[in-house]
Amino acid sequence: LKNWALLLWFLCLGASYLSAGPGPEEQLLRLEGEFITYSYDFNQIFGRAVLFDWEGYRVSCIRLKIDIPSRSFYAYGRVRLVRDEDEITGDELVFDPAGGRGTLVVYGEQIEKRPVGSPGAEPSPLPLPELEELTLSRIQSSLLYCTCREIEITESYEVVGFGVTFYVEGLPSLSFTRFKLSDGIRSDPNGFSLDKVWYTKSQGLIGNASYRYQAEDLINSTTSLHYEERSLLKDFQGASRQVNLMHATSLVFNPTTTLGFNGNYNSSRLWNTNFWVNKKWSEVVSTNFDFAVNKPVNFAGEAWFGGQAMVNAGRIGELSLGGRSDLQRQFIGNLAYGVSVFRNLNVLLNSSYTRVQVSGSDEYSEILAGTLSLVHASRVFNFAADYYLNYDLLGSDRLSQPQLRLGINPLTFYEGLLSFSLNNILIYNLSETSSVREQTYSNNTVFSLGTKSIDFPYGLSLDFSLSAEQFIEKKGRHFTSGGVVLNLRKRLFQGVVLETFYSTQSRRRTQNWLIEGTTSQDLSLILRASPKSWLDGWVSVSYDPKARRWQQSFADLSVALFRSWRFHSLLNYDFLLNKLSNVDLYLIRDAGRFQLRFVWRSLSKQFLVELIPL
Amino acid sequence: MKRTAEIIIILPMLPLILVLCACLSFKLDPLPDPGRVVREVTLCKEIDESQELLEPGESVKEFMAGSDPVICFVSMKDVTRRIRLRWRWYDPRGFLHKASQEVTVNPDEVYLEAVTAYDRIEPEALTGLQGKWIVTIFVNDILIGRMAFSVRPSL
Repeated sequence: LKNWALLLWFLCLGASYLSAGPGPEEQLLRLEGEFITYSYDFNQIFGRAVLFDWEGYRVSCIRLKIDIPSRSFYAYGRVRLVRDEDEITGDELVFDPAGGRGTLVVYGEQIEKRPVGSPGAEPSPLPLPELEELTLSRIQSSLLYCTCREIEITESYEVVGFGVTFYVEGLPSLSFTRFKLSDGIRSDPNGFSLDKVWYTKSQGLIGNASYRYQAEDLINSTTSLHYEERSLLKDFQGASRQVNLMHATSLVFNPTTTLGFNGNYNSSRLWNTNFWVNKKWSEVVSTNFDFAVNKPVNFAGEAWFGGQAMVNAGRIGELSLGGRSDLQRQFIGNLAYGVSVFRNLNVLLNSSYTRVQVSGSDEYSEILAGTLSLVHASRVFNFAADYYLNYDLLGSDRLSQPQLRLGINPLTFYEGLLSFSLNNILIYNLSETSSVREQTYSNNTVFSLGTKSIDFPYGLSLDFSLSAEQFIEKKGRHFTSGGVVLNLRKRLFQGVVLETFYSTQSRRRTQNWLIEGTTSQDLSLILRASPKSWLDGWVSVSYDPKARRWQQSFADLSVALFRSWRFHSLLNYDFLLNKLSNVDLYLIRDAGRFQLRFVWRSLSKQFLVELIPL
Repeated sequence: MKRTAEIIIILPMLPLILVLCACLSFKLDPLPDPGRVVREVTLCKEIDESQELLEPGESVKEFMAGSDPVICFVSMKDVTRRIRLRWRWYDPRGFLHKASQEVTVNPDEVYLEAVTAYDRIEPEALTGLQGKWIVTIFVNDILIGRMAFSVRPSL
């Protein structure tokens, strides 16, 4: 069944390419040649003995290179441009078909450059490095490429081939009389599209379809349907099928006013709709009004009307004021104000009032919440003070939480060799109910010191980092922790490096007379080997010096095979369980615009085929 | 049940399959590969001559005047005719700095699966001519390759 699904997916892809048709695009360039190849992987064209029309000239050349992503066009080898009785020749022509400009180059006793093309157009710059790597051999190394005698490039850089023969991994495959080889930068978004048809063991048959309509900058509308058929699954508990219908339309009424409608429906009887209007009154003031109806599963529906005003007064600050209300006398209001004062000091005030019905009863809750923040950041240190208040107006419960943060930005010494940072957070909580008043506080200080890699003779290098943390709270529990990490590297041979990591961590808790704590140590060795360009790998093993036992071992190996195929494996051996706990095997094909991966995972006993766009 | 599922998936796709098949043609013959394919043009500092075919060193685009030679290596495949190969080196001012001797390859016009060749500029010749250089490769007086590289003053 999976094979059928895979086949159908490819057929859908093919059909979408074919059904795209010639489109409204104008032809930019039509190439005729003895031999033209197009690489789907790299989106590049190479031609031999090519003829084309450009700026009124009939151009012929021995070789032609085109790199579509960088819009680079380069004809070379006995280039002839013929117009009426005129004929000019050169060794290479760099040209821009869209701008009508070009440069003809002759390599004689000196490099002679001659502008050609539209009068007044500036000569084209010389080719990009991408073109130097573009060769017929490179194109023939693609996973998917084709050969033909005619290729058309449209104004939006779509590539269409005529009399096309496809090659998959160098083997001749299907032929087409006409085939759209690549999408362009613009395509018509309007119409129906079948986005996905798939089958999985967990979800069953899945289908995604959508309909889009855009009219210039006036209307933008998308309707999408998601369908899941689960009746095909064995032992599935739940609804046999599920449908999601989603719609969004926006209408630009005039340059300052936009209307919109969103609607969602789910077959589990859940739906919601939302109408909205945005109005920009000036550069400073804008408003938004909306009306929403929401029907959750198993509860009565709610209808809300809301409005929001935004004022951006530049140096005076930004103010936002909003409110929403429904027919059951529920209300949500919020106010936000932010401003920058003095130098690097930001003030932010946020306040909200909520009156909502308690679910399943006739009672309401009323909450007033607010935050005031002051933030200052400088080159050396940063400082922030927050005050948070949550006040239950009906229950008379109040939580207030001032917070102070102070940090020294990482400071570097000895030309960046040594770096140091210090951070402190102080939190004070005051919680009040009608009968209880409780105060708590805590303070956390973190200090860290680290070095950059220090090189020594004989291919040896070293770096270390050190950190310490002290946490104090009112209840009398104090935590002190610290740790050191050392990293030593030694180059053994060309492309072979041995790395050693040693880390020790300590954590102590003190409460009155009680002291308890733990320490841990880890020693890891990593051997990295990349002796050849086609071979890359590493092996690691970790040891616990405190418990005197081996822990884990990992191995990673990557070997280049042929034609951009790679074999990659990841192994994990657990010394505690004394078994090979995981093996992941990959067979990877790097194909320019995408990557094809065959994956086997021992842990889940799964074999996967993945097509990943890059 | 499994059979039903297959039919459910395939039936709606039949029109697509028909559309697809209508656009296929199995009668087109693949185009023959053009001969004398330039496989690689590389700039490097050294050549490995220990093998039957020459192998270029690591590809480089920046060279130090006075210390590194600049080698332009070319590799071709499927050569069936006699070819005349030459390199032309242009300095940053655009003047021809060096034109190599013409090298004749495959005078007997037999099939050669691979051909490798190179030309070089000695480090001393680059001194005082820092900037962007261009090297061109011609086969039978037709431009087949062009590479740009930069020369930096020695430290």
